[in-house]
Amino acid sequence: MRGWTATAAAAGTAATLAYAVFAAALAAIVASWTGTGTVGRGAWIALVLALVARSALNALREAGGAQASLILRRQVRKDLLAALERLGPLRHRAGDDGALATVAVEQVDALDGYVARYLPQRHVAAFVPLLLWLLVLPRSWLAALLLLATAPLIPLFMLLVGRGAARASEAQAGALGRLGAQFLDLLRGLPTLRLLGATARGAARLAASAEDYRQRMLAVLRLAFLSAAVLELFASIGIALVALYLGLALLGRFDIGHYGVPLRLDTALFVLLLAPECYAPLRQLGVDYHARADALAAAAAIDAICAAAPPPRAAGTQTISQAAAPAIEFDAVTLRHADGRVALQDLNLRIAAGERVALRGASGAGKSTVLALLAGFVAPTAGTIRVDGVDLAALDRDAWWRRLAWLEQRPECFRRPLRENVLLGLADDDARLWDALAGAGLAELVRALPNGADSVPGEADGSLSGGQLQRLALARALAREADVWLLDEPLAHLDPATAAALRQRLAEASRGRTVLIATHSDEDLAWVDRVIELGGGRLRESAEQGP
Amino acid sequence: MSAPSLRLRELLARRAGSLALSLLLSALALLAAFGLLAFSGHFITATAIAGGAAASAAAFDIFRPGATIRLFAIVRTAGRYGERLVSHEAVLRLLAGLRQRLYARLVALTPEPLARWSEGDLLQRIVGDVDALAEAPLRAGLPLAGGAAVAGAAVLVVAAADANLLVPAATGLAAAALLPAATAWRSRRDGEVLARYAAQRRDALVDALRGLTTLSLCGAWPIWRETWLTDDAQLLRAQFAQRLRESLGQALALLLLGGAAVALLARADAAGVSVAQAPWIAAAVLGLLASWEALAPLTAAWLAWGRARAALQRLDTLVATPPLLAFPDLAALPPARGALELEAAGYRYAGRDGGLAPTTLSLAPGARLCVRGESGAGKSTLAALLARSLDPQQGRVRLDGVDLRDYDEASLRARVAVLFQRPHLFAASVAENLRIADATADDARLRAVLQAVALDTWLAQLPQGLDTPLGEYGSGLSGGEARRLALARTLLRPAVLFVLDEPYEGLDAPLRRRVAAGMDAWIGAATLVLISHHAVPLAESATTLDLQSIATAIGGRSVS
Repeated sequence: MRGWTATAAAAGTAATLAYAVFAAALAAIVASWTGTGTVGRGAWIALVLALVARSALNALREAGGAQASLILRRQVRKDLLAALERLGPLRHRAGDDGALATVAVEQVDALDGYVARYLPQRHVAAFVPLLLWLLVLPRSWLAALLLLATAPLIPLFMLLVGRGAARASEAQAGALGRLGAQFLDLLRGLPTLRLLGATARGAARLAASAEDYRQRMLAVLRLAFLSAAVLELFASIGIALVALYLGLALLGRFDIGHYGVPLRLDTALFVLLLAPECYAPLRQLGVDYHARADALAAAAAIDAICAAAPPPRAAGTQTISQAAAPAIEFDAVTLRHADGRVALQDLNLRIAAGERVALRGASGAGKSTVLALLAGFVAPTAGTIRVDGVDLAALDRDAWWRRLAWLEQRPECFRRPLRENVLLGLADDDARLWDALAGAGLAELVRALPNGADSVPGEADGSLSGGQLQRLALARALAREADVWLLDEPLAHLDPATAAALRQRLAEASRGRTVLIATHSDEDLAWVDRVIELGGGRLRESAEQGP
Repeated sequence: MSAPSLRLRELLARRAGSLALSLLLSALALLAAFGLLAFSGHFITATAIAGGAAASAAAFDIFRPGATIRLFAIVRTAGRYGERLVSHEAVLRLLAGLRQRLYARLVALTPEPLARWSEGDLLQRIVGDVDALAEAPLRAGLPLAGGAAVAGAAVLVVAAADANLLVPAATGLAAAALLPAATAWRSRRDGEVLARYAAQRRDALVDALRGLTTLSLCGAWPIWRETWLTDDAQLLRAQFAQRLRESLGQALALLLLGGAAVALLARADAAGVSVAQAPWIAAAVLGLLASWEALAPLTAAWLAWGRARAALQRLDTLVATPPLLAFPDLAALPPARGALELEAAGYRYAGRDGGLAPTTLSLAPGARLCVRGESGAGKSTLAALLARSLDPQQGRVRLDGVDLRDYDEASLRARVAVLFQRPHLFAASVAENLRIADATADDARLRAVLQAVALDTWLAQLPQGLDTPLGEYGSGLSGGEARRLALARTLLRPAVLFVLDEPYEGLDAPLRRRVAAGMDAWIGAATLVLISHHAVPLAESATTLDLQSIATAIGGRSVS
């Protein structure tokens, strides 16, 4: 990507050189009409070649920038998906799935303008004025001095452009963004406002805040545009002064500044043609500045996700017996998030092979964290998790994952045929499919669908209710013959009758497997072997129960 | 709300003065930049010629050209500054006007049929479309007008130099201006296709993210990820190709403009240039080169124009949708008491399961009704019928003996207060959120209603009490707190019928009991319809309605 940015910057700089050649040839031709020197075919050929070269180099600059942006965006998306993969079920700390997808698609695209245009232009703006200045200097030191004085020290100018344009575009983008967010807030709340008979209040709020923003914005913009105007003024005055000096020198009324040699028209025209190009890159940089503000906001959102993800870990290689459901042991396990919050503190927990255990506690008590730790999505900050006596960190993760089943509050369902949804990651096998569907209590329903197991859930012929989606997830677990089940509040959001039926089904299907179920305070847990209370990341108490 | 169009022209007309002024200033600034270079070329060539002879050099009037050059420099600066200020002010006003118009139109479409389209992304798009539309004068209008002005000026200068040179110059200018339009047109067509693909790609990602954990455990994630990244790479390449076409178009335009300058030089050179003509030809050539500054932004301007038109079309199709419900303007109504009757009222959604089977019931003022039923049995549909967000397809709903369809909207909203399943909390303070329901409520009343829904301890620990801002979309609250705050807001309504859909979601049993008691006392003599799948501890006089799904009612399939 850096290579392409450099290519773009080099092409942008070379395009200016081509322009200088064009200007020199043009100046020579015009000067020849007034009897100053003569031109041969060479000048005309140079003129045309330089013109073509400038166009081509400009196109190359755009293409290089676009290519750099393409490579960067592809890489960032890859990194983001990898971060999300490492976060696994903990990704909701960074936002809901819709918001995460927006970051991965729209926000990554918002990097485009910055990478494609702003980055190369920054180099161009640093090189080109210097280059042109060096071309002017041997011809007239006074013109060079005028350019230097009006573009005093490029960095200072950059700062001016940067500060001024940044303030303008950030204030503008920020205020418009806030207004947009408020408008969106009101639109989202429209049903609420209408039911409360308060739509007129919404309209009044919209009008008042728009007026308020307009007044505050204009105060900011007046100042911000002023600094852009200063840049504009310097550029205009610079060109004007150079033109006046050249005119006076040509008239012979002003004989300082060109090394004692009478100034020639071709030299003067050449210097005049270069003058505006000295300022053009800086002004373009100011125009592109808003892309930087957009990109910075996007980068912050992307970084937030990547920072939340645990660092990648080396894969373990050990395997354990697959003959029976494993025993699990949490030995003084502590998990501290990157932001310093303690999710789990010194958790000791022993789950026998084939035991079914409920983790009960309010939201935020650390239930989901225990499940994520056991699945290996996140590693404990301190302490050890052992599966059949083997440290989880040393286990071959893919082999371990093949034994796990995961059921969530909002059961996942992919816009694929039911068959693929159940046999996810498995070879197509009709017997296995129907056994699993029967075990989950879905076989009858699926058979009754017009397209049977080839129906696509969510489409007209195969719409599934919340309870049915949970059964689908259960069927998936059965099909995979997973013997460790991690259930994250699978019965929340279901009405009592549906929940009772599914609970019954879970109780039957989970026999002989090691089960951890995270649950609300008032769940019916008669079917599990043991209930463990979690609160504030610690074990509260543990009660034996069940048969 | 009769004319279903946003009438951009009308909105623009109201800002005509400042928009015209900013057009003028923008054109002046661009013309000054063009003039600065063209005139300087003329000036230098003229001085060089005059400088050849001592007599003419002494006679050459330096002050007028000097003043002109300085004037161009100042007009360029002042014009650009003024144009920016005036145009931004106009755009801000335009934006405010557009938003208010659209808001007023969308009110009539709420909640149906807007809910059919909406959900975050659509609303996000509406916001983006309004922005694109309001910025059209800035992003499209000014560059196009400026480009045209400078091209015109360049033609004039060429005509002054030598009328014979008009054809190559005009051809080059026209090509440099129209070529970007052609590439922009092509890009816009491709852009629509690309935008559609981008949306599909986003949906696919959301779908997969929902199941990320399972996909990982099943070993299906790497395959899925690679597929998605491959699709994404294809889309990026298509965008790249589009960009390449645009930059090639730009390069070609630059080439044509430069070519026009070269052609002009060559023709002048071949025909022989008199000394008197030379300054004018220098001015024409330099002017052509300087006009690039005004012509280069044309591609972006044409693209912005296309985006604005597409945005207008999308918004128009939205606001042209007829409202689902019409309310009479004014109604003669009996005194509000809260007697509710349903007479075989039913509603069935087209194309999907669910809805309310025909239901009959009668509630005296002050009665309490608990509605239960499994998901899909029509609980929320019942709430929608009582709120008149929907009209029953059969039967009728009467409040105090009058059909809901005969109530004017203000009276209906005043008498019926509804809490739906997904209430919205605004990005405003706690007090402001509550006062949406009752603008006259004082702080004491707000505290009282928060106590009724057991939010008093929550309120006590807020840093600024009632004035604490709720973050965007009410973030910073737990689900249960957000629901209770919305419940408190609904309770503030001066209604005689309260319809509460799942007010207990996310609360544990002891809290449910507290909220139920507080709510019951607060509502007092008004009628309450409480929809919840929790066993509700309400006053013993409460009646219970068990809803059965339509599918069960008509003997269809129902597996849960």
